[in-house]
Amino acid sequence: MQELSLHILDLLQNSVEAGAKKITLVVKDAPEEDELSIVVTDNGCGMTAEQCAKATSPFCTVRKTRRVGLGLAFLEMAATLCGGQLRIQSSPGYGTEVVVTFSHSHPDRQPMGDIAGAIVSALMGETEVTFEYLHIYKNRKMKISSLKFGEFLGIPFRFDRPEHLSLLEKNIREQLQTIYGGESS
Amino acid sequence: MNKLLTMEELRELRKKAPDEMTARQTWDTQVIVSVGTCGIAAGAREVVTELLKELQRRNIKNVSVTKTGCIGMCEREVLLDVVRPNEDRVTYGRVVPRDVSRIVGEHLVNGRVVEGLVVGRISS
Repeated sequence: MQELSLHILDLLQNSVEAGAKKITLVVKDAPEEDELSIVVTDNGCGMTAEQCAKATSPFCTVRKTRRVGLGLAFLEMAATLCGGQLRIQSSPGYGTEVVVTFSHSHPDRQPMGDIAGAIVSALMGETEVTFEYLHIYKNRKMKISSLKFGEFLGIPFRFDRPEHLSLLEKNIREQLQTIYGGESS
Repeated sequence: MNKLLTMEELRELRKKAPDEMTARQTWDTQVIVSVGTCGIAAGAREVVTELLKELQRRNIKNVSVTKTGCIGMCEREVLLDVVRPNEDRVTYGRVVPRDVSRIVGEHLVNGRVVEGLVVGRISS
């Protein structure tokens, strides 16, 4: 993985495979605090403490469910290589929260990349999922919610409709552009 | 604010909503992209972005897009399946964004399988 957004895609995909109905993504981009953090929270099947401890080990994977594999191992490596860390909190039956932090200024910190494309790729086809995304940059923030989109549309937002997905993708891109105002992450 | 453009589009889409409700019942084709860790690393996101663009460009309505995880053919990622009613399910392999318009144009629109990219078939 060469971009943080690809890790985000992977995390969201994990949540989907854990059967989550509600997925929340929070990205905090705070150069002034020298911190960049990504939090993915879901209400999927969750993991036991034992599974949690093994989740970032690349070859210790629950093959039947494919909930874990190389993805979290790559992410942990990307974080620890640049002064950050990965934490997983999970409770069977309730869901999982993955928090990953990076030192913002570290030369090895991967660039953010195309988050809009990542979100759309991860959630496409998921008719049962609601999704919320909060992105904070310095003192500016943006929020996207698939339920809100549905209210505007007058019909439920559907992750399997190409035109709904295109709209979501475009909206994320535009809002990110607005809060970054031409500055790069 | 440039968000307004999108809001307008939302309203426009809302106007078209009744049409789309009926369109939904007539979906007949499914496109499935594999987005496991291997697929992502091989460029699945770029393929999905291009696929959505191409469907918009051609104004194709009767297609639903969905995804699957790793199916064990990691070396042939990005994998993209096309499922049309009463036809074999076709799996394309090593798909890159520039292949997408050919797959959409040939297979989805004209019903001709792009043989050079096929890595598997499941009979219907």
